[in-house]
Amino acid sequence: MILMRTSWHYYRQHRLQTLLLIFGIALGVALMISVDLANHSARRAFQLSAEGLTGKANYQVVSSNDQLPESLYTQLRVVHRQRQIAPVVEGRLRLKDPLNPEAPAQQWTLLGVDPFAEAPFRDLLLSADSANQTLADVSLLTTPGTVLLPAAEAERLGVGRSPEVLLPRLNAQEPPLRAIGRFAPASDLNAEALRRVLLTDIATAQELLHQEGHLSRIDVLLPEGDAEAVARFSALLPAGAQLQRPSARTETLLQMSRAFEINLSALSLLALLVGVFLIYNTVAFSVVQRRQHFAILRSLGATPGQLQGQILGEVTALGLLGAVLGVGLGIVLGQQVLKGVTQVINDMYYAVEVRQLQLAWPLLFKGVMAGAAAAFAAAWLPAREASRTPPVQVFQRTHLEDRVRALLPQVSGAALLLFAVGVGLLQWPSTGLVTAFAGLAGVVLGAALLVPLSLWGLLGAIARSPGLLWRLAARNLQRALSRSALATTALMLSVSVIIGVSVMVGSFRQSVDLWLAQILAADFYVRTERPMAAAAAARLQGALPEVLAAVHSSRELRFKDPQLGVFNVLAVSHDTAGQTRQYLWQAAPREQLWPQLEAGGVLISEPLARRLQRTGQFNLDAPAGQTLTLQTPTGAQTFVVQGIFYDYSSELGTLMLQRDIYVKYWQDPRLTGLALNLQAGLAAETARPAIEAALNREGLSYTLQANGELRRAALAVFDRTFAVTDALRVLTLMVAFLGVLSTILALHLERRRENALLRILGLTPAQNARLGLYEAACMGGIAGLLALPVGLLMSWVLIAVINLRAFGWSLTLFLQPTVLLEAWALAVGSALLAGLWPAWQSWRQRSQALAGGLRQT
Amino acid sequence: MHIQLKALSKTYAESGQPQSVLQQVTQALPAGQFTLLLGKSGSGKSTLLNLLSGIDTPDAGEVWLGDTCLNRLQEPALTHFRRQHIGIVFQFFHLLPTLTVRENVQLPAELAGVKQVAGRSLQQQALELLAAVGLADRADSRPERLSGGQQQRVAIARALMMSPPLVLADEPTGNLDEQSGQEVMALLLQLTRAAGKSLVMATHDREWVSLADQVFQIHQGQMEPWTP
Repeated sequence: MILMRTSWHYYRQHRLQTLLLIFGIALGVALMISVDLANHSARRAFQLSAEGLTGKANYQVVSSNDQLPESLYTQLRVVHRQRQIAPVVEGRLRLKDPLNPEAPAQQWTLLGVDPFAEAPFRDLLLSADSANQTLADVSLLTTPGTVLLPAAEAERLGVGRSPEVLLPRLNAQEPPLRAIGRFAPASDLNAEALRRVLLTDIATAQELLHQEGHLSRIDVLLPEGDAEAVARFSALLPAGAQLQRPSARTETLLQMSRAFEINLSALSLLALLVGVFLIYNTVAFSVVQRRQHFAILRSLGATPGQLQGQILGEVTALGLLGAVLGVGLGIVLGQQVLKGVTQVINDMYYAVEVRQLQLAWPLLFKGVMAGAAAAFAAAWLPAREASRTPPVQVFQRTHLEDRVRALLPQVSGAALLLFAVGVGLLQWPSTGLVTAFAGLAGVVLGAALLVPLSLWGLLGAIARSPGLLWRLAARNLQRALSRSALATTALMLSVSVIIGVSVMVGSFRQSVDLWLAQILAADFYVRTERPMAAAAAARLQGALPEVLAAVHSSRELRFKDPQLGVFNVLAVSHDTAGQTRQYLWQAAPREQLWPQLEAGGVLISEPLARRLQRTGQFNLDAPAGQTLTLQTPTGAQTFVVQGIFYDYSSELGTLMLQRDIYVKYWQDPRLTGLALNLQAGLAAETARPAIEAALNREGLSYTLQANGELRRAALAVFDRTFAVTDALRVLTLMVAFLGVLSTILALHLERRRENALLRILGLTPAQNARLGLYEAACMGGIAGLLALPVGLLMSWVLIAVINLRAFGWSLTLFLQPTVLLEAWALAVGSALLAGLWPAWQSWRQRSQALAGGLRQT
Repeated sequence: MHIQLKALSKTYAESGQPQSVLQQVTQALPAGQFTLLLGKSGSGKSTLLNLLSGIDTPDAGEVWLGDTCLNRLQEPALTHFRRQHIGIVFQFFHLLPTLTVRENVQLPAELAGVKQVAGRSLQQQALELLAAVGLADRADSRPERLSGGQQQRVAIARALMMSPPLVLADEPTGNLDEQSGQEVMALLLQLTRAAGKSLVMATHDREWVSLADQVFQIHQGQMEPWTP
């Protein structure tokens, strides 16, 4: 107890340092928690929404392109007498808010069901609280364009107070939907998950989604655990249709964003690692400051175990306090991260709307434990050192630093070993992300352990400078190597992360920009919200002969193959980018590729090729003559791969084929995109009104983008994707900044007497302040300098190993010298900023206070 | 350098209670003399030296060094004055461990930003002073390699580096064995007297009384001529 009281006294006397320690842990934990919670919330929201839409169905009949012939349902129900089945048409619609028509249109999920088959599956229709419910059900069946709204939204829009509320469509030419009633999901959780769902009749949904004659899936209830029943049901299905668990579909979609989440988590863990350095630094300083105190306690009979226990106990308690604060901070920060994560998931992977962070207790507990464990681990070495050193040596102030210097060869040797292991892991013929991150961790930790030796050498060079203050600054840092090396390491790490990620993002952006320039060859691109009739393309060209020189059509869909997984299928009537598209590999010269596609060959994108290679379904090393077998609606079809093209549009990968081939095997003549070439000499802005008028006459919900607009929009999505990482990088730097601040404060406190002496010998207050700033500049400058090679190495690993494995994208490394210069300036700037307060204190110190300073020990 | 103390008072708070260390001390110390301040521990000797060097501030009264009233100087003028006019030798040597012996001696001149002292380069001046204290061969050593007596000799050389007219010494032999103490005192006197400098030394040891030009005793806040 008496030991605890002495510690309490110390921490009370050193409030600022104690606060820095607590805040360092809090910030590290907050970053980890915020990313964890945001990822978890997005996944959970998606799962809840999927479960809400699936209801009680334990199986689903699906097809690879979410298109089942309606006749299959009739056949199953009537011919095969399957009663526990329900047809579903599901799709997305964009609607304007009737109360705020100027606001951007919002995406809704339209769920089309058969009210007569629904009862065993979903209670959405039964839960409606309207007195006119029967009427509403009947209207759903009989009146086109009618929908039910979730209760909260219905209340907001006044459904019930008036017979119907009109919901305007994105394209003003299309008739609005008519909200005639409400549905109330059974639980609040379900209500939140289904707050952007519109419920309607099958026929209405088919009409609105242009899916006449087709269903998205058939929900099925089979006895649980009855394998025979499953087998019997499966046997009833035609080629192209499969029976699967609903969770399989959800999991397939969630898998898509896994790599993105791993990358974010890795970045947040790095912040915690930098936080560990900060904790270690602060703890080491508090221990060093009390070495004499510990030595006295040892002399009086305290055992090493008692002392070690005391130090570890007090730091872990502070760690716990910091971690709890960090969890609170993480929840606040998580709301912001969630917005970024949701945006990226919607842009890149699947539609999900999350308004609130889901507080998962296991994650919060993990954050608290991680903070306490980080504090415990960081305190272990200093505690051991303080408790094991013989008291007689503890009284010698230089003993610790001597030991640190003596350890330099071993530490540097270990660094080289770690570095080699890291490089080995990166070179390991594995395709896993875990190996890649372990390799990166080895390389980064190896580089971090080389900092003390490098710092010692570089400070030695500065110590030979003719300027006295520079000499003093460098030698002071050399003398306090145990602390200065740690702060420099923390700063080096965070700045190298900034360089690594900035160079990677910059290279990525540049690669995407170049790629967009290569593939965007048409003047205008039309993308429709829902598939349109094939004849629309011909009608458009026929209507505008003086405007359009050529109209090329395409059909793009997300394809779910039972063997090959989820990827995009792109069927084109003409490869508009054929002359400029770049290939990783091609079976024949560029001009011969299209004829081969017309003959039934396919091109696949690099991410798809790499993903299939990981699963052993494609050999990237010998691609010639390889085939892919797809479960098309007309059964299994085999295609010869004729080329692998670079593509950054989707990490899921794309398979491109000639449209006639697609129509033949998929039995789907509809279109989702048009590429328009204007007549020579016609400006895009001149042509736009005529094209828009023609598209409106077709009654389509579409986006029309000129070449440049599409390019800018694509880059805007790109920038949004990396906005989250930008914020995390800045916060990591903040943790490192706290590390430098803590070190500079420690040096400042520790050398009060020495500074007083220098002042007595003639150092002016301004010189004294400069001395402190020079120390900060030395640490910042060296950290920045060492961060350059480490950051570049990190960017190479991110580009050549991690990005390639996570997303399958080959990127060209584009190095902008300004990035390096800015990073170095950032390191120096943040160190100088950290040095400002102690410098200000030095500058304010009057001569008359020096006698007191000299008495300080 | 002529020193005048005018009604100098200093009080410290100890456990919340004011403790008067110096009360209305008025005294004149002629230039070029060795003044010895005697007194027990805590009597106020060191406080008086601190006030003389301007590193502590009196509650009342003034310290005049030559024509300069120390208490009226503001930073950085006070530091500049101390650099040029005062050399200090401490009981615990206070050498900087990060600098070599020669660099420690050169330190005041380098802080002052001068290139030469008394027509000599800083290095020459430092080496000459080290030779004078018998440590020319240890110029490139680190202070921690030297004995206590050697370290104090380096501190004397440092105090004389800028050729100040006043040298203040606070218990310079208090941390040394008898023989080292004798050597250090002999050096200090020899070097200050030869250059006609004023030396004010605080000690509790009466051994050096016979060497001093004048001796004062600090007792109960008063500074009075010492009588055996």
